[in-house]
Amino acid sequence: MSTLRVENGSFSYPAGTRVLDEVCYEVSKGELVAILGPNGAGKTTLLKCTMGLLGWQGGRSTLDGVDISTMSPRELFSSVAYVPQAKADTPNYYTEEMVLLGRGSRIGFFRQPTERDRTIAIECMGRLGIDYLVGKRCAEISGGELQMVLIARALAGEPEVIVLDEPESNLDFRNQLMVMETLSSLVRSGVACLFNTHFPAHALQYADKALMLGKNGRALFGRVSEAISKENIERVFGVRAVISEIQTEDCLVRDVVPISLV
Amino acid sequence: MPVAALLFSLCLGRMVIPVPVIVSSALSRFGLGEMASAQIEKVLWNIRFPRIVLAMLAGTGLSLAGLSFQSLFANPLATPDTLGVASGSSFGACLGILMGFSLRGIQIMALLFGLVAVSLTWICGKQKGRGTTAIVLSGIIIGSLFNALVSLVKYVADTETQLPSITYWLMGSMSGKGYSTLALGSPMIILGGVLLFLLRWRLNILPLSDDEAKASGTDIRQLRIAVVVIATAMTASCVSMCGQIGWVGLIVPHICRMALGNSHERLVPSSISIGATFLVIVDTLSRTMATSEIPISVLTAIVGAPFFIYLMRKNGGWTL
Repeated sequence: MSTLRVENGSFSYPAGTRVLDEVCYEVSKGELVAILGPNGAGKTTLLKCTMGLLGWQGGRSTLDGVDISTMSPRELFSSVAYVPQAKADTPNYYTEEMVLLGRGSRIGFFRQPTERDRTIAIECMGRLGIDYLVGKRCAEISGGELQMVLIARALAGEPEVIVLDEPESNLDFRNQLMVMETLSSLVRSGVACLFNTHFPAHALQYADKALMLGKNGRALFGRVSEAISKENIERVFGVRAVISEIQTEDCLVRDVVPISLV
Repeated sequence: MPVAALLFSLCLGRMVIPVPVIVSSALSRFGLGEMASAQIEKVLWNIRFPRIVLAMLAGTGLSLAGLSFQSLFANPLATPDTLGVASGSSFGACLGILMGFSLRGIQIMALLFGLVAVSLTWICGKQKGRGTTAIVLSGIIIGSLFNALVSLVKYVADTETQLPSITYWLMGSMSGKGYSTLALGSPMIILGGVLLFLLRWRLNILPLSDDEAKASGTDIRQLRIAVVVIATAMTASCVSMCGQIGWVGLIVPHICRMALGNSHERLVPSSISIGATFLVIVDTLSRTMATSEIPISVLTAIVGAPFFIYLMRKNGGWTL
């Protein structure tokens, strides 16, 4: 049972304004949790604090009850993996070399990766259906493919929790679907996933729980259907919206349609 | 490849010595075969051999330092020269000569000011993201500052004794260096080389963004500091043995990157062997092309400058 929990997390930047104010939430094995909020609300900051890349000023993060600030980086990041947004300035390694870097916390400081490490890296690419990218360089593949490579890299470390920063933001429809389907299949295989997003529809369709982060640093956390409500969207985004339901042949799809500014 | 270059370079010179003579002379050191004439023995083992070993060590050191700096700053144009490390080390060494320090003291001064220079460059050029220009610009500024300080040292140096030795040494030369110079400079280059070789996979973390690097479970601060110190120490050792030899730290890692990709698993070993071979060949050319010796930094610059322009032009679609 692995649970990453934030207890009363608070953070402010040196300029003074409080970005995060007494935030509480958690993500457990087999759960997909989405973080939503307007630009500049501090979603990325929240992720970084949650996984110890930035230090909390108040409160703490715990992994299975252990305060993560007491864990060594090696210990912490062999359980928790981070997937940044795919950017064009990613170092130009071959994709399989990039994925292999995800084994970093499982390989000794002065050691080289073994055959087993390399096999795991290739297997992770296979699991995500991107083994056709082996032998290509990161600069010559598409943004969607690069995002998948970065997810494979996280997976290669055999983590219990994967934290993703806007994994589908700069991607087209197809690639967005691909990333979201990948996340839900990872969750089904027993990983805990936490991600930032600008798309309420993705949260509604795929996530189990959602956290809505307002500009005042306050957060609402709960089951997706409760957290993403008309009232909460109006309060957090300052937008009047309706939640529409579209019946397709095999399922009911829900989306948030913004109507007007408040 | 380095072994072939070594043999090739041992043969050539004002006196051409055929390979079989070299081999039998080398074997005779271990009690096998017969010695060559006393003159040949002297040329081979007291003049050419230390010089070639020096060129190999310097080539290795400068190439690995260049490779490390490029990855550390995620910047293809970062080298000991462009970051001002070489100038800083030169200033330290000149100051050492001025103050009449021993060779050991000169080397420590070179290391110290190399570290000062790279720290200053780092502080001035630090910016968010992976901008390539700021760090190189600040390196050029710091480099020219230290070059000015070198001029100042020359100005106040004693024109009879110190000035010629500073000037001669600054031009960069492999000649007239015996085993004592080697004994002084080689430990740090060899130690640094071994450490970088052991860390070769871990170095792949360096060009990643801060958060990614941290999330790989590596203490990235520790790794960066270690690599800066190693690369600077290697540069300073090279500078204190044979003066400022430019461009090697740029050309060699890039040749390796072009041929083998960007993974340090392959870049570290290949930079060692290509670096050693490259500088031995250039040094052999410098002592054989004309009757008097051409300064080695002149040759590396003639090869290096066009190469640098080529990289800069190509940089649009080019990442590390």
